Amino acid sequence: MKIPLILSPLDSEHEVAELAKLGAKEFYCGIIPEEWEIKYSPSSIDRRPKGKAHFPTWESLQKAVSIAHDNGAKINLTINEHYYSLEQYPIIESFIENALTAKVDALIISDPALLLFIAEKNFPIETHLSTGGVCLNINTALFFKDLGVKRIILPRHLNIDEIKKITSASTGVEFETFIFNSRCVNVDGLCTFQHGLSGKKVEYFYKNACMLPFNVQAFTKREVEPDKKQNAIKKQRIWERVHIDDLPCGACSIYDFSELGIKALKIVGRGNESERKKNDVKFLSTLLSMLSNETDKKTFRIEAKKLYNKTYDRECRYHMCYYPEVMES
Amino acid sequence: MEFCFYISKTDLLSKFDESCNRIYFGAEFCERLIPEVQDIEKVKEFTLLRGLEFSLMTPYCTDNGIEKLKKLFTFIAANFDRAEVIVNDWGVLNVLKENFPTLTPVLGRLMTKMKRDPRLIPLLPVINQGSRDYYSSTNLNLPWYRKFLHLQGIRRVELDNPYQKIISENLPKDLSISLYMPFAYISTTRFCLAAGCEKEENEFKAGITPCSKECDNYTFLLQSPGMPVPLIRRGNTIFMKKDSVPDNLSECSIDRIVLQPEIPF
Repeated sequence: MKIPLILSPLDSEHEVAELAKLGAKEFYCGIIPEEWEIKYSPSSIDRRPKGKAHFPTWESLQKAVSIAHDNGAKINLTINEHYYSLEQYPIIESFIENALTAKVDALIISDPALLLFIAEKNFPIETHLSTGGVCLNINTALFFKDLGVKRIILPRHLNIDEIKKITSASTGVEFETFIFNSRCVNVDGLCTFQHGLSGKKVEYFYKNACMLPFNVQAFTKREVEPDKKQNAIKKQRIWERVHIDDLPCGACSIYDFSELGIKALKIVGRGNESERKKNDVKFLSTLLSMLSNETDKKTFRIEAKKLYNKTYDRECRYHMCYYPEVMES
Repeated sequence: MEFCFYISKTDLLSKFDESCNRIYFGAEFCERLIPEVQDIEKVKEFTLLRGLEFSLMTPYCTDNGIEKLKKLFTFIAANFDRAEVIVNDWGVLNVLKENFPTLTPVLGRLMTKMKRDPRLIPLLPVINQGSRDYYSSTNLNLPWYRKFLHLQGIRRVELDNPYQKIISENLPKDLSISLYMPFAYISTTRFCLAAGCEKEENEFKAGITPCSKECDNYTFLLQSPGMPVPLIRRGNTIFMKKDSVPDNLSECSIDRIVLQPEIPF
């Protein structure tokens, strides 16, 4: 049994010390270079539209790294768009050089072409495969290990048994799993919708495409009873009725992940208010301390549910559970 | 130009388009729909009778899916003189490379990264040139990436037909290119909303849930004031339909059209 570390989102150097004190051992963050924003907006270098979810300057990021290191924590930087064109590579190269100067600990990457670029240029930096790299099996883990990644962030779209298969193989890489916030509807690396096409004022372009209001019609090859068809239509509209970020949680699975040797638990939430980030880290830290006290799995899950219900004032819900098979076990 | 007939079920062989000289057969989006060896046998008979080439379509998959695929790869390697495997998962490519060197890997459309969001249609005329070019490009114009693909045994890559223009100069000249028509995939999930969709109690059960392959019967048309074209959901995947071929088709090194007689799943 290995206790995983907490990986927290980070948007400012002012957040580092307190989040580290509360238990975050690693952070991940983003920055959009000004040149990129001018040339390529609304596409983003890290799939998040410019705004609260990014450090404003390399200097501020450098300060954050320094504070993190002083607190025994690490900072990983996202450069995880699914692909970049040849024309964009001068900005990418300068981004990596700035990241090295800022002494960030790792880059989070989706695109195999960028991993190849980093290897070819011999940039002395650790790389982690973003969930956008879509590692769903052992062979994909081996494929990306050959491309130099030290850690793989597994997709949200794996159940615990499937994660177990991957992590129990001798792949020689570390694994990170999602544990809190933003239970994305689609497989990240296979979703070609563009997020953040506009500001909040233009709702239909601001909202994620999966959450737009849709008029749904169902067509069937074979005749079905009207009630069944209506049920089928209702289900198609779930993501416009239920916000995918209504505090989704996988906390009950932490016990399983510690048994599987998962290295890091990822809290989604770049752009969230600092208070929310603190609350999320504190919640998970409390659960990790239960693991240290050698609680058994059943008790841990009961306590995790209780703590979630109390901390977030939410019942556990299937569609907001990262690993819902735990709810059924 | 080569035309291919792409189907996921053997009963669609009856709709075969005689202008095609190759059959694509298999599952592209869901490992539960990976065919059985018996299905491949049927397709093999059909291709032999007509002198057609064969490509096995494969999905993104977990280790369970890979085990199923290995059985098919073994059968195909033993029973076809030449066969392609359309790969939509790096792990599947790894398996082919390591264990089935006689099968020809093709980089499927899920591996060709390109934004396909139809909401780009009204935006393209008003965004700056750099963004417009980005949305019309892929990473296939990177020389080191192409070299890598060659080393992996990839000689063909596949594209969808999005609403934005594909810049022909940004497409590789040293790789053959296929274009899928008329359905372009936009997004896919393992939280399938067709799974168990007829049961009222499953309304909020979104996850990797059991199914009765409802995707075979149901297709959903999704229309929204925020979406310039209708979306089509079949099984775990969202598509859009575009009938017209790109204006610059002949400049794009595209030498294969993959025809989808029905929405794949």
